[in-house]
Parts: sequence; structure tokens; C-alpha cells
Amino acid sequence: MMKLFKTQEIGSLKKPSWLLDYLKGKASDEEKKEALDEAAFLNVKMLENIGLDYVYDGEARRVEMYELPVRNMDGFEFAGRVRSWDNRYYKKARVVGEVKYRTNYHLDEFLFVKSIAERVPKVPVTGAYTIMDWSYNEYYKDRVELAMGLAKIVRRVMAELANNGAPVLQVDEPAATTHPSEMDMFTSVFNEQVSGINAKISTHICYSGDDYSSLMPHVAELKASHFALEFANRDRNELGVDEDSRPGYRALKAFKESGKEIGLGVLDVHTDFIEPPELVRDRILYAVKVLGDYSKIYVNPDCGLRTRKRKIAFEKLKSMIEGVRLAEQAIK
Amino acid sequence: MHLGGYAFGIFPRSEHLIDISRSGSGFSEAAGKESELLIKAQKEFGTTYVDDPQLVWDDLFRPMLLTQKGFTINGITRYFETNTFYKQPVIEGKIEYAGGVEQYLSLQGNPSLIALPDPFSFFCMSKNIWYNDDATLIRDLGKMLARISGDLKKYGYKLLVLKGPMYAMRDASRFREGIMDSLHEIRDSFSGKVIVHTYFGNPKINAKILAGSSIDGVGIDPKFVSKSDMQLYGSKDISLGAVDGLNTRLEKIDELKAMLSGLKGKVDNIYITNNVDLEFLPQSFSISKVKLIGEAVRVLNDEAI
Repeated sequence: MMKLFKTQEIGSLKKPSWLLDYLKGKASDEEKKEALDEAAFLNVKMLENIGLDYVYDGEARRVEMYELPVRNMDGFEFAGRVRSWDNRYYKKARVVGEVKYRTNYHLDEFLFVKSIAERVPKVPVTGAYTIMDWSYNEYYKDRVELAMGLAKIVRRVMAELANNGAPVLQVDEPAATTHPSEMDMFTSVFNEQVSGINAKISTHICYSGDDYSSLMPHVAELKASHFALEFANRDRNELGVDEDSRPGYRALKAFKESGKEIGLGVLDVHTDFIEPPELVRDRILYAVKVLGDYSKIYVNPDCGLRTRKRKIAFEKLKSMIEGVRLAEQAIK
Repeated sequence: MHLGGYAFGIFPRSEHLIDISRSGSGFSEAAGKESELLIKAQKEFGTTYVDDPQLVWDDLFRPMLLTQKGFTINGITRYFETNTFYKQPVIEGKIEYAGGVEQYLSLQGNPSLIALPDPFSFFCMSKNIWYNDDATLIRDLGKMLARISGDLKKYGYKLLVLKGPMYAMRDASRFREGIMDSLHEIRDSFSGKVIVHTYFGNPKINAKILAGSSIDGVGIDPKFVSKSDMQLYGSKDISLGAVDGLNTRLEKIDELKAMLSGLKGKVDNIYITNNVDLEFLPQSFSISKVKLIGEAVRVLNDEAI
């Protein structure tokens, strides 16, 4: 049966416990690199075996989406950890000088994935606006100036990836809708960081807090052809393809006018609940009903699955693929 | 004009305490020791009031949700425009005081200031699935907070800060009576000074409610509020959130002085404070900010600002 919907992961998977133990141990640098290669290889093959069309390495080598780029740029000093919620913290850095490119922090990992992947590799790259928003600015005149400085660095990182054969770059911008009054500024920064890049540009924005109402007026203007968004987190778990059954997907109506591709989040990454294939099917069928054009719909989890145990992530993704096949059958 | 200064709200945990909080054992004891050190530091810095660092509070609502009647806890919600999240209160029954908040206080060291959510912000930031009438809900929140405030009085707190960011976000006029009654009841029950701190915006739209209520003062963020708008609160104390809890950059005393200029003769009591909780900074930076508050008060009083 011909596939109607492309499927993808958003990026991160929980690191295998054996890898963490190994990295903390007394292994040599070469042995640690081998272990990271092995973890990346297993992640790519797991995602391919599940049946995803677009894959990456589960971000096996990355410490965290903010910390990794900041570690590899000049101008930053880590200040310490700040609460995300409860006992969860993330490292936050101060901008104390001009931000500058130091090294391409994704190129080696991409080249490895490219060498082993049988499906299309899609590289997640943390966007400039998010790095700016999550940093303390002690150097630049204002947020725009800092974000534009970062956009130049991220653009160089992405251009090098594209020049080395990366077909799809996913710009992760979870902070995008945090400050609704800055959406014009976000749009300028986003477009600056992707200008001249010879690859398909996707963006992932999640947990907007305003049901994407601040994003939607800017979708057409943003230079991304694909928007991977989070919906399942706000949806009900009952079956149905009518509007009342799918409250989490209301933003799709406003998205329709853009004519761009949607990466439809159908798995809530903050719960161990395994969405049944029938629920995934109905979420997709509702999106088809609203958007009309199924060729513009890709299917994915809401966000990276790193907060879930690997077995749970595996079961969720497997169920997602089964749901996609059910939706395809229903349409045909 | 009398000039004072204090830090309010939840302090950040040290790197050491963060590690302990994640390991799961010995947290309460370590948090108690660290709270004592933070209280001692504030006393040394000479701030007018000494904040209870609330290191065991996972967010501004949690101790109430765990101890009082009528609540359950929802998933995480972004705290305004920060990258920090709180667990949303769900009101699933009649709200009633049940005691027990004392277990979340840092009594060793004798802090004199503590922060609680303001009833209007508590209402706006909760999910109500039980009350049919919002006014009753706000009044019940006010009654619960008043009883808790009464307990705080017994433990020696002198200043109660009510965190009220929603006054800068939403028109509260529809709930005017309920808010006024609640603030009055809290003020009455606490019997010390009560200051509502607004932040993330200008509370101008609700200035009449705040100015007409029983509270002693209003906290405002000068990033959003002009000097003329600072005079909308009549004879209330003004707590000027001149020290930025969202950026590590340490303000200069001259910058604080400039923010105060022009207020002499127009405001009787003014306090230099942080604009938002200091927990959005790593601990070492938050301590520098508190030290700055103490120094600024001393220097600016010497200069007879």
C-alpha cells in the first residue's frame, strides 16, 4: 500500500543507562567515542526498524539542547543551574563578550548518521532566538542585537551541515512563543539564521502556552517550509474525528492558510500512556479534515522523547506507525 | 522620604543543594542549614526585612496545594515569560484552611518576611472545576490565605509579600469586591505590613483597586512603570523592583539612584527590592543582588536621597 504520510521523530531519546555508566567510568577517550558511536547507531537503526521515514541519532552525543551550542561558542560563561520545575534544573550561561563561532558542534555527529542511515537524516539544531532567550545578556545592548549575533553563528553551523549533505535541518525554537510581543523580532532572527541555506528548513516549536495563537500570524512569513508542532499534550484521549473530540488540534485551522507542511504531534511525550493506534489514526484524520491536503501532513511525537524510558518511547513510536497505517487505510 | 530595602520570594538553591534534591535523601536537613545561611547573609547585608528563602517550596503554590483542602495538582505550566514552570492548582472542592504550612517555613534564623500568592493571582493561575461563582472562589482563597497569614504572624514574620503578577496582566475590576475583602482579611489577620508585588507589566489598570485596598504597599517593576504611574497608589509604600531577578548583570548604585530620583516628596516610604523572585538566577548571583540592595540603602540614605 502506498504511504500517504511521512513519519519522523523530533530529536532526543533517553540515553541508554549503559552509555551513561560507561561515560562516567574510566574508559579511554577512544573507548568513549566507540560507545557513543554504538549508541547513535542503535538509535538510528531502532527508529528505522520502527518504520520512521526521517531519522536521527536520538541526540545520543548531545549533553543538552542549550548547553551544547553554548559550550561551542565564544562569548559565554556558564553561570550555574536554574530551576526548570521542581527538582529539574538546566545550566544557564551569561553572555559576557561578543558571541562567535568556535566549532561546528553538529558536523561530526551528522556525518556519522549520514554514513549509516538508510532513511532521510533530519538534523535538529537549536535556534538563535531560543539560545538568546535562555541566556543572561550582560554584553549586548538588547535582546535583538544578541539574537542577531547568534543567528549568524547558527546559520554558519547549518550552512556547513547543508554543504556536507544534510537534506533537512530542523531548527528547534521552543522559546519562540514565550514572549508574544517579540514575534516580529523572532521572525527576523529566524529568517536571518536560515537565509541562504541549501537544505529543507523545518522548525519545531512546542509548549507555546497560547495554543500557537501568537505563532500563526507569522507562519507564512517564516522561512521554513515545515512546522513540527505539539498538539497531543492538549488533546483528549477519546476516539473521534469531530471538533469536540480533538480540542488539542484547534490551532490547525489557523495553520491551513499558510499552505505549509505540518509535523503533526500525535504522542504526548510527558506521559507513559501508549496512545492506541486508533487514537493516532483519529488525530491524523481530524488534521486531514481540517487541512484538506494530506500530502502536507507529516506525523511525529509532540517533542523529543528523552523524558520517557526507552521501552516506552519504542512502544509509543511503534503505535504511532500503526496509527498512520490505519489512517491511510481509512482514507483509501 | 524613608528608604529601605529587601529581597522577597523564593531564593535559588545552591549547586550542592540541587544535587541533594535530586539524590532524594537528606534534602530537608540540608535545605534547613542553607536557609539559615541565607537568612544570616541578609542580616549581614543590612536589608530592612529578612526574607524566608523558601528553599523547600517547589513553586509558589505547592505548600498550599499539599496542605489545604480543595486542591489537586495539575501538570506543568510556564511561569509567564520565563523558562521555569509551576504545577497548576486545580480547585476540585471547597477551599478550606487546614493548617500545616508551618512545615514549609524556615524558622531557624528568624526571618521577618515571607511571600505568598495574592488571592487574585492564585485565582487566575488555577483551574477551577468546582466553584460556579468566581467571586466566591476568590473570597474562599482569601479566607484560606488569611488564616495562613494569621499563623505566619505567630512565627514572627513582620512583612507579608503577596505575589500578584496578574494585576499587571488582567483587569480585575469584575472581582473588585472579592479582592478588596480578601486583601482586607489577610491584612487584618497578619497584623504586620502587607505589600502586593506586581511584576511582568504595569498594574495601572488595577491601580484603583490596589490603592483603595487595606494593603500597606505596592511592589512595581520600573522596567514597565513610569514614575508618574508610581504615584497612582496614594499614600501606599512603594517597593521599587529595581534589582533584576531575571539577569545576572549586577546593577550599579547610581542606576538605582536614578530610578529613585523624582520620587522624593511624592512617596513616603520606598523600598529597593528585586522585581521577581531571585530563583531565576543561580544562587551566587542572587546573593550579590541582595548584597547590593543592602549597600544601596546604606549609601543612598547617607546621601539623603
